[in-house]
Amino acid sequence: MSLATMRIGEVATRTGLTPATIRAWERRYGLLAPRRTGGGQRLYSEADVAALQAVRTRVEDGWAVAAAAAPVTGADPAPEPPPVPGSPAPGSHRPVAGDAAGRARLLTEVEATSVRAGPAAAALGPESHDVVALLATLNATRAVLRAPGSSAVVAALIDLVVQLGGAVEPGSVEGDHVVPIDLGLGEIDPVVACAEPFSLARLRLEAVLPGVVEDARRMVALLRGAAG
Amino acid sequence: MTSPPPTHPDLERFLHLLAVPDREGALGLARRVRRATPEDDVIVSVFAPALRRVGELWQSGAWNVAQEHAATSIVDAALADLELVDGGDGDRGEVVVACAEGEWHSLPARMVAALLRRRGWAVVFVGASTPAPHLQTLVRPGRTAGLLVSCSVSAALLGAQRSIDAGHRAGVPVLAGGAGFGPDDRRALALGADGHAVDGVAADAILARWAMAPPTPTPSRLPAPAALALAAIRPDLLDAAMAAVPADAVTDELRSRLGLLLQFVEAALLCDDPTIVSESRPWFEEGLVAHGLPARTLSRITRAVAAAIPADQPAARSVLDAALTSP
Repeated sequence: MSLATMRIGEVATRTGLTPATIRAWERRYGLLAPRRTGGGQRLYSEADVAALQAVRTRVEDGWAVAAAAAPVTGADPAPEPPPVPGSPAPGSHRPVAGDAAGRARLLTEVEATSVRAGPAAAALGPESHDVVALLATLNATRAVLRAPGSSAVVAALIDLVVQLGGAVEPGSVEGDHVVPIDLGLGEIDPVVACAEPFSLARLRLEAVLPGVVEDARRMVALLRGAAG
Repeated sequence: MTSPPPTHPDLERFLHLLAVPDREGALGLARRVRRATPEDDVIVSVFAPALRRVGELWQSGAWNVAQEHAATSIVDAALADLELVDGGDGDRGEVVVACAEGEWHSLPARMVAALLRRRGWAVVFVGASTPAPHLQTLVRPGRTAGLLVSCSVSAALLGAQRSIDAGHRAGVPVLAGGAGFGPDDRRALALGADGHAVDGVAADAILARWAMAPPTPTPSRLPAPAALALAAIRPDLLDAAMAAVPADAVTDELRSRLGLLLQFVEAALLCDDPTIVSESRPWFEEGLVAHGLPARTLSRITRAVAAAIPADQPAARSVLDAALTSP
């Protein structure tokens, strides 16, 4: 049993996760149960750092956080992610191909998980009735509407990114894989969604995030206004 | 030569609060400014100049991207504050404000939306980079007086063309604006927009005319083939560009930035406007310097890219050559 001696700042630096994410994973998925100092601050051990790194790696591989955390928390051990038809496959935020042929293959895959909404919608292209993306958007919008506070709004955005197969990174990260919208909305340190260009996750994130973020931003403003 | 307008007395304080970052302090200051001065002033004289300065600080490398995110997030919140309080009646007509596909800078468009809302328009602000097919479902012929497409960086003009086209497919007139369209209507008209506005005030006047007498809708058009042909080989050209960079300077960030250079060339072909590339040169040179490379590396990079362009794309080559040889 390793000693719990590290403060959350050091753990954040070592794992590349923000303190807010570490606390959120602890709260929502039961990941880690850090000791507390007399002043109530969390203290972490090397085993905790290893657990966080393991979860982070799996999330980057395309797992939803809950499934990624399961082997660590002991809840419902699932060596493979549950095969839900149409859900993003692990690694779906990795690139498939950077060319027109690759993109055409991706759109075919999107179509295979879609339903035809009628001739008018068909004219708009397959992305418009990607059922996985539509359902994820609807669920995220509902979560935003029902959020009891601003941090729940931000959590809904982060959930949406992972549902669509993306990864959440600190806002200091740059590069082609970053979708440049800050999802932290000022409630937590800046965080952004990441998925490789031309990946299925990237197509979905670019289509869905801007609109949901606008709704989330408005909800945060309303909640702040209500809080006075 | 006219002297520049006086800066707002609270601008420096606001910038300092963005830099800390002190969200509560900045929001508090914005509220005080709004209460003390006429409606439009806080956007035009505090938020807009502050954002320009933030952009300069990031561009020069003084601020990193996380600081830029934090600062723009605060201004976002301040604008949202404004929207909640100064709703406006929305009885002048409906307007949809969107960022061009591929345009992730949403604040300029958000500021125009806030201004139009307070001037009585019912504004739907869609957010950053809206996919063109989605935009097509949001505008309603006969109800939407105009679709505003905002482009802040010329690299997004390809996406802007798709956004403009989406408005026309839906039968709605389209107004183009933002720094990416340049100071006049040349690029906007080249991409098929029905009008161009330099700022929210100009947009208000044009929309008022359109609400009374809608312009004849411009038919949807295909983008210039030369631009599409170049876009198709962008990965190969990017490889050629990176090969011209010293090995120890090769980073993902530099590759992203050079990818932008290629998008500028595509945009220049799209609008038949080579100034899009030549005016971006100082920006790229500054970026190279921030990456620890001499500014003249840009010439070596553009020569490598020009050499990699196939012979059947002469227009692309000449746009690059013109950018190289301009003073």
